[in-house]
Amino acid sequence: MILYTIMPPESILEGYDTFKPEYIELDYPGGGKMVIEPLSQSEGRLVRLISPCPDDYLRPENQPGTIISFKPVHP
Amino acid sequence: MSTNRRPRPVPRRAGRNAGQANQNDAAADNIQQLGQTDVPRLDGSLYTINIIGQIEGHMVLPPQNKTTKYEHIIPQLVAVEQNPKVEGLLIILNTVGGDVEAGLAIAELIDTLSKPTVSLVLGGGHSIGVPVSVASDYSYISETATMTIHPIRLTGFLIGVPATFEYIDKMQDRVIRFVVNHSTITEEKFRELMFNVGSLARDIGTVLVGKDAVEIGLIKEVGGLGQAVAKLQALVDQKKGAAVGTS
Repeated sequence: MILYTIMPPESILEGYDTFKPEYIELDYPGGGKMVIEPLSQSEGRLVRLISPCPDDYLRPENQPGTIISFKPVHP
Repeated sequence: MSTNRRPRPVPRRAGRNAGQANQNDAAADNIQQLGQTDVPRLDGSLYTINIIGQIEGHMVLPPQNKTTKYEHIIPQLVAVEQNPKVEGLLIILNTVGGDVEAGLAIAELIDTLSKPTVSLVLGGGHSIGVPVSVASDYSYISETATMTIHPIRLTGFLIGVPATFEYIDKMQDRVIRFVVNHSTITEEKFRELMFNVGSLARDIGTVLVGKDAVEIGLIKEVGGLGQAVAKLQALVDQKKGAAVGTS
């Protein structure tokens, strides 16, 4: 991988060795996954959406950084 | 859905009124009953994508970086191409550069999109932002925006491959070839700007401010949001007119 940027590499990569985010995957309605960085038991920040349906990516609530609240679904 | 024991994401919708909540409930019912989501509601026919901060590619960057994730931009471009309601795409750039391959991937997709595209460089469109900004059908730069053209190897960062001169040179050639093929700048001129000494304080390269980028043929016109949207609408209308004319 090559970074082609005007930013100095030391400022981009500062903390890279200690940066270990934890992600969980949630099912996305309609058959996809949401990769979420948990903030608490029921809330997380959306990191990435994995969906086969391109229109899902046009939804503003699916943009990375959105706070997602989730709850267990009981049968 | 009823047998699903895994947590189900419910996007938080702060400050929405009850009517929208009902609409969201209806959408959720739709998913549960029909197993499908409805197409997002678009009031306008123009879609916009921001490319800001670092273009993040194969490596998740530490949190002090503001990044645009290429894996999220790419499906959006696919959706723009495929969604019949979207007629044109506006790309707004304010980027400091980023991953070469991610940037080129976005640039190639913008280039091969069949719908009209207009890009607007605001603030900065540096390094790998240059090929992204020239990939559209028509490009604008705001008067105060800057674009830095510099060689990859000096401020670039390399991981996973031996940093041989040939490898980086090849990477650089990919960028140069793309820019030359998608703007009116010549390869000699672009290389000259890239290896210019004396313009950047401690580095090799050139900073182009607003109209400089237009004068050398990199960007088509100096303009702002109004011009960019008007141009995009004109391209959309022109395409519609051509479609009517041929049918």
